[in-house]
Amino acid sequence: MKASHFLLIMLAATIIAAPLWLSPYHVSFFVTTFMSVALAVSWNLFSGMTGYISLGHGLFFGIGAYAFAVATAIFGLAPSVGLVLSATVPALVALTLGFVLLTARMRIAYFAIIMLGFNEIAKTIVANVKSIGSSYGLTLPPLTNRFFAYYFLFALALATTCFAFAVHKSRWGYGLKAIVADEIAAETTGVGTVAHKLAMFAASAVFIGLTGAIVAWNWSYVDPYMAFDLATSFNMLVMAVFGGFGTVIGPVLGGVVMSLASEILSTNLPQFHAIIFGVLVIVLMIWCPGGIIQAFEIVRGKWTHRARAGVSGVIQ
Amino acid sequence: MTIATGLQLLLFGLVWGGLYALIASGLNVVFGVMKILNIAHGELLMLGAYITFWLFSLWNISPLVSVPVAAAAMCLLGVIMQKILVEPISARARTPEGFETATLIVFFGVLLIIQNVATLAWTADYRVVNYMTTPLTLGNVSVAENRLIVLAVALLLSTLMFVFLRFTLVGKAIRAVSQDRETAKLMGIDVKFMGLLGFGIGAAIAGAAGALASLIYVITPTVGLLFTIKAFTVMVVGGLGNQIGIFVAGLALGIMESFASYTIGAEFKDATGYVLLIGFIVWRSRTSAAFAGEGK
Repeated sequence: MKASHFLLIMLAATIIAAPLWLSPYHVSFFVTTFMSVALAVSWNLFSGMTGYISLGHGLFFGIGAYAFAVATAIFGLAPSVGLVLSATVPALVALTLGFVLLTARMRIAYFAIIMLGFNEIAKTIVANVKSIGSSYGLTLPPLTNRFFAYYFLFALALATTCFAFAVHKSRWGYGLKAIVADEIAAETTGVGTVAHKLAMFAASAVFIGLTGAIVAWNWSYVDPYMAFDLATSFNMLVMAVFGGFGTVIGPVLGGVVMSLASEILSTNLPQFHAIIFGVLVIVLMIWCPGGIIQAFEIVRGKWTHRARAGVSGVIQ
Repeated sequence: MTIATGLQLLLFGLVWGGLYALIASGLNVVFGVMKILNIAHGELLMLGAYITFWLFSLWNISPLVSVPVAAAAMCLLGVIMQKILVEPISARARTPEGFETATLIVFFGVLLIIQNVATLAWTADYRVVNYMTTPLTLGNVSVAENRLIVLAVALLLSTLMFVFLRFTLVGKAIRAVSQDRETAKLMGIDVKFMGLLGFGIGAAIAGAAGALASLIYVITPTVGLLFTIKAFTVMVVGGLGNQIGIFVAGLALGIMESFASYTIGAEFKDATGYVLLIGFIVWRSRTSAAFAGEGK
């Protein structure tokens, strides 16, 4: 066993045991952190790995939250059924949207705005359908175990990251890198570009949908403006780009750092951390497009020519 | 719906439509010349609106005077952004797709900064400019004076843009760069300078439109994105680089929204715009290779 593996296992064990001595305040901080990591990694799973920037991935968060809320609060189904629905409904929506958007070629800018548009359309629809609570939202059955969200979101963040890692290492991952570098060339050399894009789109929707369901359950309340808040979509982008666009570990770091920063800064000046992250995103994108991951590796002198071609090939 | 209501809605729609067409004509120059989707375009408009609001409420300066002031201030900001943000990325970008992705993210950062600086500086309170709000009655249609001013100034500026791009040498150079960057370079056009000029003009138009928008809409730090989306819709539906198409699409969107808010409800006004945009892009991407082919 390598030392790094040992460290990772120790870290996981610490996180699993931590709620025993953590205060409720710290537990809720970690819940936010795990949520951020799961969202950032999932966003990156599609946008980072295919190059199609989405400005509306919060759509799947909202759909997952509402699928769960409608199943449990209105139809009285078991929470486990609600969770299954909060994974399958976003996946079906993603596949449907994907068949419309991703089977023909589309400019990145157009795709980005279209996703934002779908998020806003979904918000408008949900806010105007009386049977699912319209703009007043829905109250969910309370979460009985106060550590449930902690463990579930930790497992989800871990699963999402492992999934991203597995994809990255697989033949499938090479196909995706080819798509980012040059989609036409990838298609001509036999990469099934549509299948690759659709699969990643659906996978990111599943993970984000589940995150939305757990977060809504933890809130024990959901309304269209929280569920389809554009800030959710925007934060995913900022965290993933900050950590390292198109990398596996980058979005994990991005999620952790952004949660920490907003915890420290938000209490006094909520606008302040948004400004700082705006500046960081710009600075990183111009001078260090591989995110803080690239910055670390440059500092450690490990940024080899091959790695540079890999990551900045993603973005520039 | 009576004829009087119909006319009223048409006039309201025209005012908004004229404004949309104006903003889109600025966005079009930026998107055309530099191939940048400036997602922070509406934030420039928001800053222009705040400039107008403060000049009006602090020193009672007429919003009409603020139009050129806001335009000049935003032009300067646009030129600075082109210099420090776009040019470094442009110098390093290896593919058009990479450039489009990188600039989209960078301008998203700009949006975050401008929006939150504005919130810190001026709070999230709703601001309104009460200027020439007396209604004019023409037959059975009644409209506030300031709306007519907005329509007139928007039409005037749109016409100026059209004449500039169509008939002046610099305007022709800007269009040449939009159509084919490499060939334009070979013809001796200073592509880099045109980028700077294009961004400056687009930003100036956004500032001027902001001054106008402050007369007919509430100003908040987060108002920008909505206008960016509207301008983007108008630009795409009207056709990139097609001045007349954009003008017609702007008026059409304004009128469509005005009737949609009356018939299906104001809460669906923005959603109808999104449906139009998405439907149009999907339809065109599948029927026109030229539409889908640029960039990824």
